Amino acid sequence: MKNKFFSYKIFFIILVLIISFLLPIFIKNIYILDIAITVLLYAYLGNAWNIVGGYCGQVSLGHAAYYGIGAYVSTILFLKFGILPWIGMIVGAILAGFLAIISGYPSLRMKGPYFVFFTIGFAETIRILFLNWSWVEGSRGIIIPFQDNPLNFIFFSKIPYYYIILTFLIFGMCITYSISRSKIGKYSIAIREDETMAEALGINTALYKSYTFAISAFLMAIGGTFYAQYVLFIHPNDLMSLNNSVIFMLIAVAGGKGTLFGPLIGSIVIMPLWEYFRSTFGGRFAGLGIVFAGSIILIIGTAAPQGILGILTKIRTRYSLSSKSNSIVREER
Amino acid sequence: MKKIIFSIILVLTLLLAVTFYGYGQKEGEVSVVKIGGVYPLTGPYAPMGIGDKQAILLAVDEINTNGGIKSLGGAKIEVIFADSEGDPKVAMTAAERLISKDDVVAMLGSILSGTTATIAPVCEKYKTPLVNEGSTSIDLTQHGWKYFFRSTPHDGLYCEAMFNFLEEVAKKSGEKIKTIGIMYENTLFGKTAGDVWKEKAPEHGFEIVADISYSAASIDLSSEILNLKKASPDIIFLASYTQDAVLITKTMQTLNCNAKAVVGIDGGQIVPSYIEAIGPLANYVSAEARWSPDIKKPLAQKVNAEYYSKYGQNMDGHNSRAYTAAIVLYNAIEEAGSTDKEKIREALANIYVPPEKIIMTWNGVKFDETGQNILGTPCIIQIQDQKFKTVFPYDIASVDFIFPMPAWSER
Amino acid sequence: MLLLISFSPCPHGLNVNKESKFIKNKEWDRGNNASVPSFLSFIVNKNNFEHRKDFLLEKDIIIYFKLLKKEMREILQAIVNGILLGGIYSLIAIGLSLIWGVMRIINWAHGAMVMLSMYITFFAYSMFKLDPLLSLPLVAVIMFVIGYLLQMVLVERTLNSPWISRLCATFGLMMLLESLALLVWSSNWRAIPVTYGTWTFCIGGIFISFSRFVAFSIALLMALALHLFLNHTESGKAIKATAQDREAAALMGININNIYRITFGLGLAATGVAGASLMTFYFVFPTVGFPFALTAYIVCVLGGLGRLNGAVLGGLIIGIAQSVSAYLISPEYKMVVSFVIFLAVLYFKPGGIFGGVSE
Repeated sequence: MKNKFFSYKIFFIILVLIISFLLPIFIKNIYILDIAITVLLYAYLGNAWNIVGGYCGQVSLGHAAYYGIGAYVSTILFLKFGILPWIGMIVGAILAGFLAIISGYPSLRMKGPYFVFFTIGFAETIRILFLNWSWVEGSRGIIIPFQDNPLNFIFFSKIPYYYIILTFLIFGMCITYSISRSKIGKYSIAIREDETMAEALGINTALYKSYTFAISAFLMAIGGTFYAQYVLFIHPNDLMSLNNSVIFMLIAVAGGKGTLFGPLIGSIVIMPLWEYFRSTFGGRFAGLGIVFAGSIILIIGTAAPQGILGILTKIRTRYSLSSKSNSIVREER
Repeated sequence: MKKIIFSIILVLTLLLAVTFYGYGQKEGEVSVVKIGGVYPLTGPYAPMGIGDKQAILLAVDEINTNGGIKSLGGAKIEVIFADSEGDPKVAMTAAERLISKDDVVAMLGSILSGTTATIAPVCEKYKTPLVNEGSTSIDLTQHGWKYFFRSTPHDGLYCEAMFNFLEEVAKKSGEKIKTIGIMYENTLFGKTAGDVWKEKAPEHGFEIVADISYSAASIDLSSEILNLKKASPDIIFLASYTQDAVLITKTMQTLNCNAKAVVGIDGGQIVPSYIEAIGPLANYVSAEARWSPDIKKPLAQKVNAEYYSKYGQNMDGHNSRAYTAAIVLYNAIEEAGSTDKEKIREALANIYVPPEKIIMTWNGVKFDETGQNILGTPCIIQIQDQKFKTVFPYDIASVDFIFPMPAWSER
Repeated sequence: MLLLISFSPCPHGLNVNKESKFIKNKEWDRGNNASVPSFLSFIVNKNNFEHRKDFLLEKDIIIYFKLLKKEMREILQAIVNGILLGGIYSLIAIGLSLIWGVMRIINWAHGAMVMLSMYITFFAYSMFKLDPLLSLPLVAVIMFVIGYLLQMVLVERTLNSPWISRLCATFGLMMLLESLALLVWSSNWRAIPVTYGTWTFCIGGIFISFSRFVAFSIALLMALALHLFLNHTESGKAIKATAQDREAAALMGININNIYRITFGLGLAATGVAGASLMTFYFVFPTVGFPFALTAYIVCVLGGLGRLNGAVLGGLIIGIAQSVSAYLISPEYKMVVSFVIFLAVLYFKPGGIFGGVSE
């Protein structure tokens, strides 16, 4: 029976993969493609957050700083030094990883909410620094000239962007999966559940917290580069805002933090709905989108701490427990 | 079996009917011309966005009641607005939505240089002409965009105008003006103004003695004003939005920071709510206002009266330019005689709108090869008796410029 | 300090003798860089000093000291500004500190609560023409009721969940409140034109805005009132007991749920007071709460959770630090200074400067 269960899940995953790869062939409308890219991008970013926030339990509301740093490093290297964004992307990501470790160091002792404050403060400081730094054009923002060329990571059509972000997402989720199965992942979960106990067991919490933080920042920075190359305009207030950090957390938590598919589900559910609210109710009912987002967070906080996946799991458990005979028949087919 | 065949035939017939209905409309028979407008209708810049939206609707109403677009058989203009929320990414998505879903033939937008920076490439990509009514960052015409037309003069011209104004004032009053203190908010708008001021001041023989950048969302600006006061400049230049302009003026009064004149650029000082908020403190503040309701131009007076009767407020420097952009676009579509985007673009590139047709003080509208309108002129106002009064250029001024500004203690 | 309070701003003109050699050299007078205090600039611009062939004139010494005095006065002004600003920060932070200290809940919606109370004050004015200082008690009571209800309906559910649920719940509340405010009241900012809005004291050349001074005094009064309540009344002592040890308090027969509700209500009432005071000189718009809240958190951590004197002192420290650093270094990095202090405290003394509850 275990084999059957296993293939059911794999079948579902493969189905989703096929649909997502074939999507651009059926959907030509640039608006809908943009929504799809946004969904995938935020799923990717939520996944990156999830590594340190969900699996390791270190809730950070400062991830937008790494997002912005990724964008800025690759853009500056591209515009000022002619280095291709693909390479700049990796450089930015490594830098972000280092920064995460360095900034993580003072915060290793901080518990729960204090850590959250620290991350907020850190991100805001970085944002203000960038805002006032004229070498990176600070508050003027940087417009990336549109020279579409695959080497430049700039494309005329949205379709290449779609596939790139899809690949990133799959890559990111693979990393999450392998982490969750590895020693880093198990130790991180231990740290999340009870840090004192984990230390008592001899786990070097500082090391593993730093690991997950660095990996998380690394992925986040790559996402930042993608954003820069997609929107072609970057500005510290857009990239490194607390709003962004909250959205990353929201997506992961809404879907189910600490799970592999949580961020993806969170993004698929929330982002299109948000865009729907924005486009339908702009004007008189403006702000309805944020009402929606806020309510979601509220509900998750009070009623559904495990997110959508949590609710689905509960439903499935109840279903399979109540109709056991049915499920046996189902599995055997 | 019969029932199945019958229902299949029914469905096919319906499908055919629907498809032929879609082809029913002949080409050239256009009844509605759709234009897109991306503006910040929510968020911190909403007052400006909503003002612009109202002005554009006013222009379009007028055009439609006067027979619409005559070269298209009286087709009516319909403007579809989208909210940019002041966020460049949202603006980009909104522009794409308007172009791909709503099939607009041209776009208007979007006040903030940051959001315009993401909309323009979209319009460029999908070859949709964009008439930008109010983003003054100089960068925007330096990207070689072919579908980007900016009817408003840019910061270079406006900042230049402020220096010219100072020179004229110094000449007329005999007072010496040597030092300027500049204070600007730290986003694109303020920073660009600050940079241009710093660059152009030496050319006109002025010295910048204070260079203060601040966050528009600050609770308290006492330290900034203290720094300004310490430098004791002759003139203070400000680039602020409304709430910070209010805070700055109040703090200047509290800390007794005086200067011979306080000149703002665009932004906060030229909206009616500025005067409403601080009453008599607003007096003697001047600003490069782009436009003023009291300029000596009959068309301006007429349009303003209509706007006032409809919305209960005078027009200001922002929505007057939005109104003008709508008029320019209308003229272009009229010239082009078609809803083909290329033709509209051509028409815009070659258009000349004479000054009599627009409500601005400009010498008309004509775009150069970068898409910049080269016939724009400034308009400096001063708040006297809590009302906006045009003081410069002298030929359209309604009153004299009060200079130097009386100190706080003398009011 | 002699109290020469005059209600008209006293312009303190500096009667400088223009013939002095110091003044002729304009660079020395103002300093090339406005951020260098002028009395130090003669060190910076050594050249000007060295090229002088004449001896120091008596006039020059007098002027030097006058400029020194001017400089001191300006720094003092910066400090006074800082104190007043700090008072505002304390005002906002007191409510947060109380809730945090007693219930170990970080109310992320705190900024939104301030915004709400400001709007209530505004509507009290626009509907009933009530001056904010008069409507202050009314606003406090309304906010208390709202707090009590919120605790009952919302926050209680999360008390036994991990802290991230509380974060989500209060954060969601904040987003909800802000977006509803935007929806209902639009983003136009509202202000109350109070008659004393432009009153300014002038003491020895230092300018103090009347309304900010009032807000500062209210902060101190409120802290005092809360202190008296917590230490000298039955309910107050019950709250303190619950803060110290929940189980023991329950065993003593204290109704914990009720205490929590009262505390939440009190905390929100404090924000009500803060909001009403703010409306005497500031304006309100849906997102006004965020910068307030951020600083309030910093102040609370700095002062130690649940310690009212800590909140007040912390507010003052942050206010002065911000104001003086903005004056001496650069105004752009105000927030950075607060964060640096914040991070230093978190790292070295997480319990706050008074060593409160560190958790």
